[in-house]
Parts: sequence; C-alpha cells; structure tokens
Amino acid sequence: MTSMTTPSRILVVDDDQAIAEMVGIVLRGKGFEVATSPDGASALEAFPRLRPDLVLLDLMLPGMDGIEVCRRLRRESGVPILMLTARTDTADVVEGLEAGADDYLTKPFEPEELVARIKARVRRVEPATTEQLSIGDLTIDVDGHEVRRDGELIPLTPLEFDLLTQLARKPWQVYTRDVLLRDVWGYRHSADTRLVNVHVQRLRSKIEQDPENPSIVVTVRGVGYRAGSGS
Amino acid sequence: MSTEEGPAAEPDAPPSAGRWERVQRAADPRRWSLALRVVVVATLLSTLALLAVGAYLSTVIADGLYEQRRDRVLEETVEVRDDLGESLAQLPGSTSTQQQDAVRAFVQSTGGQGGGDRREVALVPVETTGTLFPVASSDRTLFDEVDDEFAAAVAEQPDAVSWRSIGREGPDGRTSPALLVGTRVVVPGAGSYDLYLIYSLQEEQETLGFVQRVILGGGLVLLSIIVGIAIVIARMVTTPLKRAAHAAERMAGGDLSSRVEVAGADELARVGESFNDMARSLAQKVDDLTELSYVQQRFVSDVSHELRTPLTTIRMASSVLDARREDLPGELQRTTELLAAQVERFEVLLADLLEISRFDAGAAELEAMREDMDALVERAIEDVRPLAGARGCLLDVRLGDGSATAVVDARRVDRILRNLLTNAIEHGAGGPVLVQTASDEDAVAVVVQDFGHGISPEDARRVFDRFWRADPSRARTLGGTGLGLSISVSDAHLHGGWLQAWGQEGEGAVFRLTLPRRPGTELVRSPLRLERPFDRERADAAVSSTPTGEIRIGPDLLPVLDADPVEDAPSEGERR
Repeated sequence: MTSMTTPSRILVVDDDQAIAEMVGIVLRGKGFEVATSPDGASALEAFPRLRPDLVLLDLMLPGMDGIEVCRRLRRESGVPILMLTARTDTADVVEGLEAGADDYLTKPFEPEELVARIKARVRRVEPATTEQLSIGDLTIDVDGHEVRRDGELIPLTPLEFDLLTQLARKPWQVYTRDVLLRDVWGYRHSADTRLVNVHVQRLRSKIEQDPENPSIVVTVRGVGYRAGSGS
Repeated sequence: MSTEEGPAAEPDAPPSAGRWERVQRAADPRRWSLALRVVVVATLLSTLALLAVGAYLSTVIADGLYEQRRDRVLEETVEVRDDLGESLAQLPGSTSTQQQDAVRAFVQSTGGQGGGDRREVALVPVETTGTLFPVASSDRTLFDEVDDEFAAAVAEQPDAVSWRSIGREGPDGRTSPALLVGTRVVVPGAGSYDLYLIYSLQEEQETLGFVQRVILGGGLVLLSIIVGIAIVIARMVTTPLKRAAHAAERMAGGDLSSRVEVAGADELARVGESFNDMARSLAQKVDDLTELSYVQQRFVSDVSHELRTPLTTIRMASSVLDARREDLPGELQRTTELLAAQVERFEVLLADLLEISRFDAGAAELEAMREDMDALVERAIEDVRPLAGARGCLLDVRLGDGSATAVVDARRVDRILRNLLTNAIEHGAGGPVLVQTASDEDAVAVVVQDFGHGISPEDARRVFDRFWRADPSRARTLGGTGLGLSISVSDAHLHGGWLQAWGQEGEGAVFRLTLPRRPGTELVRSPLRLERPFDRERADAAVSSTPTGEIRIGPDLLPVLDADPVEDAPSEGERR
C-alpha cells in the first residue's frame, strides 16, 4: 500500500468529460494525484501502468459497462473501487457491489462526500504492529495484511481484510450493520446496509469452508454479524 | 343472466337487508333472472291458451253429445207415440178399466226400455171417454217435472214432439241432467193422451266428464312439456349471455384478458364476438396507454437521471467556488451563495421528480417494519426543531395513550411527517403547531394543525396536486418543490393509509395521516378528527409564555379539541 508521503493516485473512469475534469480539480485540491480514462477499455489498459490507489468508476460507460470493468479489475487486483451511479433504484448498485466495488456514491454528490469516501478507502496507514489475530481457523497478520488458513494465504481485498479484522478484534461483540458502515466504510450517517450484506457475502465466499453455512462470520438475526468459532 | 345490480347502483343497501326486504325483492319481477321470467311468462300464456282450447273442446263435445242424444230421443219418442196409438186403437169401446190396464201395461213395458238408456214414461189422459188416471212408469215425481208451461206447449202442438232439458233428481238425491219429451197422442175413439218421456243424460254426462278429465290431463302434460321447453330455450339463450356477463364482470374486475367462448354464428354468437372484439380493442387501448404512460414515466426517469451528471459537475463547481468565497469580491460572493442554494434546490426538485416517477411507474416498494409511531413523530420533531426555533414557532406535541406501534416504512413515514411539519411551520405564520397522535385497534393517526393563513376546505382537496399553490402570489420561503405533499400522499397510499387535509381560510389548516397497523388492511376510520375548530386565541394563550422553538409535550397546552374517533370517507381532501 502506498504511504501517504506520496500522494494517493486516483483513476477516474467517466465518459462525461466535464465531471471527470471537475472531480480532478476537486481531488487535486485535496492533494490527490488524478488520472482520467473516458471508457472501460482504456481504464483497464492504463490500470497496470498507473497502479492507482483507488478507482473512481462510473457505472454507465460507453462500450464495456462499469460493472464489467469492475469485475475485470477485481480479477487482477484488490484495489479499492468506488462506483459512481445516477440510479439507486435499479439492481445496478447491488450488481456493482457484487462485481467487487467497495462502495458507491450517488450522483449528485457533495465534493466533501466524495473526498470523505475516497479517504475512507485509502486512509489505512496504520502504525507498524506485530498484532496477530485469529478468527475461526484463520490467522490474521494485521501488519502484513495477510490472512492464512493452515499457512495457506487467502487473498482478500483491503476492504474485506478490514471487515474481517474488525470482527476478529472483538470476537465477543455483535456488530450491527450501521456500526460496520461507520467503522469499516467510514460513514458518519446511516447508509445503505446492502454494502455490508454484499461484502459479507463476498468475504464468506473466500474464507468460509461452506459459504452456505458460515461459521467464521456469523449472522445474528435481526442485529448484525459477529465472529464465529470456526467449523 | 343475473339481474343483481352492482354496488354502484344501490349504494344505500345495507349488507344485511331484512328478511322482509329480501322477500319483497324476490317478489319483484324486475329483479328476476331472464330465464325465470321467460319460464313464468311461457307458463302463464300456455296455461291461458290451454284453458281456452280445453273449454272450446269441452263445449263442442258436450254440444255434440247432447244433440246426438236428443235426436235419437226424438226419434224414439215418435216410435213410442206410434206404438201407443196402435195399441190404443185396438181397444175401441172397451171399458175404462180395460183402457186403464192397457195404458198401464204399455207404460210399464215402454218405461225401462229404450236402447239400454233409463227411460221413464208417463201418460196423462186429456180428453177421454172414460175416467182414466195418469199413469207413470216410475214414481209420481215424474209428473212434478211436467209443469203447466210444458203441458201447454204440448197441447199447442199436438203433432210435434216438444222437448226440454231438465235436472232430474235421482233416488240418491243427486241431480243429473235429463231430457223431458212430451207429445200428444190422439186416438180416434179413445180420446187424447199426453205422453211424457224422460230420458236420463247421465251416461252422456259421464262421457263428457271423462272427456273433460282427459282434456285436463292432456293439458297438464302439455303444460309441463311447454314449461320444460321454455326452460331449455331460456337456458339456450341465457347460458351464452351468462357467459358474456361473467366475462364482462371479470373484465370490469380488471382482467382484460377475459373472453367469451363463441360457438356458431347466431345472434348470441354475435354478442360473444362483439364482446370479444370490444375486449380486444379495450385491451389494445389499455396496452397502448400503458405503453405510452410507461414511455412517459421512463422519460421522466431518464431525464432526471441524465440531469444528474451535469448537476453533479455544477454542484462540485459551486462547492469549489463556495469554498473560496472569501477570496471573491462582494458581488461574486453573493453570486456563489445564490448558485449554491439554487443548485441544492434543483437537486431536491430532481429527487422529488424521481420519487414521483417511481410512484407513477408503480416501482415504489414498501420496506415496512414494526415501528413506534410516537417515536417516529418525536424524531421528526427533533429534525424540524431548528426550523421551528428560527420561526419562533412552538410545537405542541400531544402523544396519544397506548401503544402506537404499526408496521410501516419508517423512511416514508418520516418523509411524510417532516413534510407536514415543515409545511405547518412555513404556513403557520409563527403561530403554534399542534401535533397530536392517537391510535385504535386498527389504525394509528397523526394530526398536524397550524393556525396560520389557512386554506379553504375546497383548496384542501387540491393541496396534494402536483405543483399546486394555494395563492400563486405567495412566496415559497422554504424552497419546497411543490411535490412534497403529492409524494406524501403517495407514501400514505403505499401503506394503504390516508393523508387528508382540511382547513378554514384565515384560521388554519389540518393535515391528518392515518395508517393501518398492518399495511394493506383496509381503513374504515381514523382515531383522530380531521375537521376541528381553530381556536387561535386559546392556542396563543397557551403558548404565549414561550414564543420560541421550545417543544412542550403535555396534554394541557392547547384547548382540548374534539379527539373523538370519527368515520371519514377517505376521499375527503385526498387524491389518488
């Protein structure tokens, strides 16, 4: 992960030139380094070269749509992806989240909101620690951002890692979705709980032996989630 | 076909009409089914026709029988007269006793004869040489049947045979029809005799009775056959009609795919075909309109979404400018302020438009959970408290007793409440705003009442119209979009609830939200009264000590307004 000594690099993928430029102005004003791509293909092509710390991805793109871009990016990287969407009432949002986006912003949004959301995803520069956590039969190397089962590495995106670490730190505590949104996603006000649901599903599909009957991230009906005992 | 009329035709009929009314209704031929009417009319008319035919037949047969018998009787009478004349002519100059014996012998031998028919004979001497007594073959009642008139008629026409129908009383006391025949026998040298014969018509009467019974029986059989035919025909006609009626009812019930089975090419088949054509063209029209409506909604939705991207850019630009406001000269500072405020308003309007298009498209979904209405009211009041404070408006909250839990979509209810509260504060002219809640077994209700400029009851019906304004000249100070109440009423309807308005010009306005405890259950009444007095003076007196945005929660601040539950039609000041 890039340290904050060098500015975080944001890749903005939006076919609307005006908004891309405006986002660029706002983000540069906040000290980010910004690159823009007008469509999915060029974004995918530029991605390995730019190695951005976060991708700001418009869902409605000409040619390959945002969801497909998201899916392909996720295949090769755990980079935080923030979707921009004009529609919240369609299945787009859930589809985008399931394709691997970490979070989403609905147009129109406040510049402050955009910056807050970006910072929430790239802020994680924690002091070095040798903290070792375990949850179920997994061991978490907090400093190395690594999760292992029987010594075998399980690749997680930073968001999934944060989510798991959050649950593992206080295994006795039941986290409501609102609390997770605040602690993991950095929302100060209540937000879309679908974010939590979708990412818990994605996390389970990676760490659970049997995602249908989860034993590591357990649902507490009507409340939220907590760490389970494992198998 | 059913003559049951729809509820629209008889809105006053209570569901449990009395037995007498039901009987009355059943007795009214206008309410009978077509088949029943056809059968009844066919039965009545056939009965009349059969009675007429039966009566005619019976008369003709009776006449025929009678005439036939009479002719034979008359022939016989002539024969008897001739026989008598002959037998008397053989006794010239005999003594009275001899004559008497001869006459008696003749009468005895003749009576009881006559083709098996019972025949009675009487002989009355008229002008005889000797002293002869009248002689009868049976008892002397025979002579009673011969009155003076008949005797005179016989005397008048000595050669003819007179006859007359009489009722003869039999030995068992029963009167049976009979024929009285009389003629005069003149025997040269032996004087004149009146010969009377009575022929019983009992046998003919029995034959006639039998024939009449046969006619009656045949008539009844024919009548039942005709009734059966009428039933069959009525069914043949009404079954397709019934099918068409059912199809029409289904269509009226909203099933546009309802069609009638058509067989043949008769008039009824044409009814079915016409109905199907009508249904098809109706369905086509509805489809077209639905499509058009869908295209329009889609357009509104698309426009709203398309506007969002440029709006985002404008908004960010405005924010960037706003953040650097201090660096700008005075005029530009104000310009950026205006820009920021209006961009925000634009955004709210856009959001409202989208919400409306979602309702129009039927895409709005209820995310209902069990909630405490009082808690929702309190939360909404917390949210508008700063606004109320700025307006110096006191919020008088009076929560009802008892549990106010209901299964509702908290986001929508919150939106409704915030809308009503903001409206009341905006239009309340700094006066107090009364917020009252109440509940009963089926519903929860919230009333928001202000004592401001008010609206007329007529305008109250229109406040939920999109972009409607009571007074076009009145400034919109809180930047409402004109869609808020329209969205609120849709939110209420989504719960199966009511949002109603009422008011008095210059006195104030009342909005009442009534929601069923469970969404989808039908509301029949609200626990709170909508039309209520506006006692501004007492309202002022109750709050004058704290003219701030202070919230007081208690029962005694405002005059007790009538909180009796009242039944209100949901149409009151409400649009769907």
